[in-house]
Amino acid sequence: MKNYVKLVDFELKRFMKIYLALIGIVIISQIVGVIVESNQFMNLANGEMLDGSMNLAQFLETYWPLTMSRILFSRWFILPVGLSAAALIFYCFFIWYRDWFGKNTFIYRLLMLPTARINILLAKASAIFLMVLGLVSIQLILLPIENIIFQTIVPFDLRVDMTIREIVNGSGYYGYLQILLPTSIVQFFINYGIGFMTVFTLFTAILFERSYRIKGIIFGVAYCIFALVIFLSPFIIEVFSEFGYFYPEELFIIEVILGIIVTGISIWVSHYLLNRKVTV
Amino acid sequence: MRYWKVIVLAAIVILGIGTYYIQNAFASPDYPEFHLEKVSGDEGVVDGLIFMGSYIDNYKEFGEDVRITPEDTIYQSERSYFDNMTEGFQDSTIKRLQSDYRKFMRGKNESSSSFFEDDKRLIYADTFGKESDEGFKIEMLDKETNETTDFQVEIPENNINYLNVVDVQADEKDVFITTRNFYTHDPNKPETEEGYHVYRINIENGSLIDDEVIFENKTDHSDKGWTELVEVNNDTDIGKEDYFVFRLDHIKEVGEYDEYDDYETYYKTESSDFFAYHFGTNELKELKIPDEGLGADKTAYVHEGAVYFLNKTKSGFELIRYQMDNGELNTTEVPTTLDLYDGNIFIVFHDGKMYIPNSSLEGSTANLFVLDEKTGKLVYEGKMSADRELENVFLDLNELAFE
Amino acid sequence: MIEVKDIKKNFGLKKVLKGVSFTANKGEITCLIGINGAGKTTIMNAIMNLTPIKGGEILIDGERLTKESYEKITFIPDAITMLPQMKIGEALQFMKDFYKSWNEERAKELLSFFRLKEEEKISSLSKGNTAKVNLLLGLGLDVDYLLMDEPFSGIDIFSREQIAEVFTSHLVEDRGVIITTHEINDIEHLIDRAVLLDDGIVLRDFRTEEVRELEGKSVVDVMREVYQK
Repeated sequence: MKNYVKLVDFELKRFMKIYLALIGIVIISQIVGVIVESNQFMNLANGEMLDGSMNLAQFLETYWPLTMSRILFSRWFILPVGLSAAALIFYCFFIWYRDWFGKNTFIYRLLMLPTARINILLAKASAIFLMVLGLVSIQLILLPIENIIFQTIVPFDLRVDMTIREIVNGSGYYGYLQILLPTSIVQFFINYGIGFMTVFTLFTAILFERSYRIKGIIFGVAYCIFALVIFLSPFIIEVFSEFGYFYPEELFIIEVILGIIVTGISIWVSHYLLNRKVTV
Repeated sequence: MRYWKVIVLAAIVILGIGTYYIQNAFASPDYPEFHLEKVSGDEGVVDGLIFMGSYIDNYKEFGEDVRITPEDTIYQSERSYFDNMTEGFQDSTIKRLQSDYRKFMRGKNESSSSFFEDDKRLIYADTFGKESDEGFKIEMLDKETNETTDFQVEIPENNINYLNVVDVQADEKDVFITTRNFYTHDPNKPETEEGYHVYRINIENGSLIDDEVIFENKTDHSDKGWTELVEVNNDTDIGKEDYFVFRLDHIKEVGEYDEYDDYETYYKTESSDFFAYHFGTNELKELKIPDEGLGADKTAYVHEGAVYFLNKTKSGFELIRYQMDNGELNTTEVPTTLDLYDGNIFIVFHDGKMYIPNSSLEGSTANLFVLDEKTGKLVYEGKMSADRELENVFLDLNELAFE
Repeated sequence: MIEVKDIKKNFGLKKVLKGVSFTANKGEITCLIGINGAGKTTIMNAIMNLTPIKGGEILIDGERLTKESYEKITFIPDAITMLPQMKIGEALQFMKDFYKSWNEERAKELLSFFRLKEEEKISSLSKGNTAKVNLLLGLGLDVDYLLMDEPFSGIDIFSREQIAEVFTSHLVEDRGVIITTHEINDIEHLIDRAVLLDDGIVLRDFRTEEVRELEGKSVVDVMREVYQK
């Protein structure tokens, strides 16, 4: 357990510079985004109303009052979030391959640690999860700050205020915010549970490749398909038998069990590969 | 600090995500509460009435399902995950059947037009085959013994491309399955493309007694227009109906096609013919309903041998009632002080009364009219009002339920 | 005692190890000798469970390797096993964090012997100094067995001398050492036992003392005999 925490800390340390840079980009881009978007809207409002072509009511009818939800659609928000997502997805692979490639051979050290090798995998998965959740948290902490900036620039008559919950539940960055922070806590655990399962399955596929190399790529892809088929089996059966045999609550329980099974199999196979098959 | 990275990151996660969900759990969202306000009439008729619909906030760019009970306004996000999951989005008939006959309803197609129910039986009919064109599978639940019988019936050699079950009826001996069949056709010549059939199946020996073509739509695209079949019968009502009602729309192209125009401005339904088929007599008759009296969408409601239409007038609206057996046409003027909105409007028949919710396209208001089914007299009118001023918010009511 | 019993390994269709057996005792230096591709490194990796083997068995003091074994046996590969962006001090801290058998005092001693500084970044070190840090990471552990893969290859003459000095010092005494090399000159006088490998098989396995005393031959003499046949 202690070694696991040490390893998580170590894995975080290895990506910390890039991670902090990502957070920095998110914070700066979003804050600049709120300021720029708010000011653009104010310029528009001033332009339309000062030259007398529109009064306040006409302006609001044409352009609608500004909301945080609309600001969240801007590129200032979507690009850094997309960049972070891409970086973390890429890092799911890189977190393993960086130990093998390059002049140093850190994988020797990791495999020769006097600790269960599965800890290495669990630490890598945990590090990725902490970083994903960390970024989501940063977004949650940023939103009220951005709300204040928005309210400072745009006067009350020209805006509609939203609570953080409304912003998150709205279509902010094209609905992705809802996937990251669903309204229901149960849905939150489902989404991240599926995420966890996917990461473990991917890690297993990577370990297949690291154990059997070229042949391992085939094994890895086959394993991913296997995991997908197991997890989606109730739906696949439904497609073939036309109608939904199961009621939604039954399907939910089955999916939870299948998700746990797939995650369990992935961890077990990874454990086996790390102990018996992996090669430096 | 040795493991500060783990600790700091975990702290941020707990602080950010943790507080967000704890807040969500304790503070309910600040959404408006709606309640029905009586304008006139007898308040007793709306006791236990539940409205279902969507709440859409255009400024804030989000929408949620909402359920308005006499006591409370419940938004989708306020309900538990499991409540949202099990309640699903099916119509209330299916919901009732699923809770009453859970075993029988397992794996059944979720469209209520495939069901028939009377005091003793619940019957389900659906198609089988690759293109659902080979025949029917029929399942019957005896409500007293709780026993299920099932059998399949094949449709002999045919030119059906695929077919939809649009209604199921039954008497003591037979099951009548009304279908809309789409035929395989030769694209080079105008010909019959679709038609309504009634398949009569003997319950005792499971044989197909009769395949009656009740109407066929011969489509001719040459004359800048075509005809289209539309089912009119009430498909959420799964009890006994004597008639199957449908209409034939005559659609014409008007003006030059412009991709920026709406579909409606390019195609226009010129006229509609209404037909009713009587299951007992096998008779098809055309209903003599004056076209000009009807609203633009020609929405008709069928209940107990009558077809109803709503029509907006200067002083309120009128209810047109067409009695199918004798062809009697009644128009009842319904004077109301409330506006009749252009938004969603429909009729729910319940307990000898017609409940007519009407949503506005322009704001968060909605009205409810309750008429006596026999006399067509207004017995209640009410207005849905919110507990606050709402701007650019829509309340779209689409279903009613009775507690 | 490390017992390697009839181990086999393939890389694809190529048989790299065709049944290799030998033993290495505690308190002795065993040298695996062979040209590149003879399978020396693969044997080391196999002993450390860093690569799977097809057949045979490896026992360390009579037992199979477990995770606890890494406190007792360690391997110094021919490239450094730490991240280049780490400072030497951080690398030592890492070792201290994970290994109970890490001997901080000895590490400090080696650090000053090699004239290395904790603040130096591994990526900024010369080849020789990198090899020394790598050596230090292994020697700093209080292990019974030490495996070294080509510790002298590609290193300048002064570093070689310094590293060779370590072998005669108290730092190596009492431990069992397995070392691989393809050139014997630097360490011929140090080794107790030589295992001559070629093409995945052991050609000859002998104690250097016995050969020297009974046959009057040096290791190089035996090598010449074996490889030129």
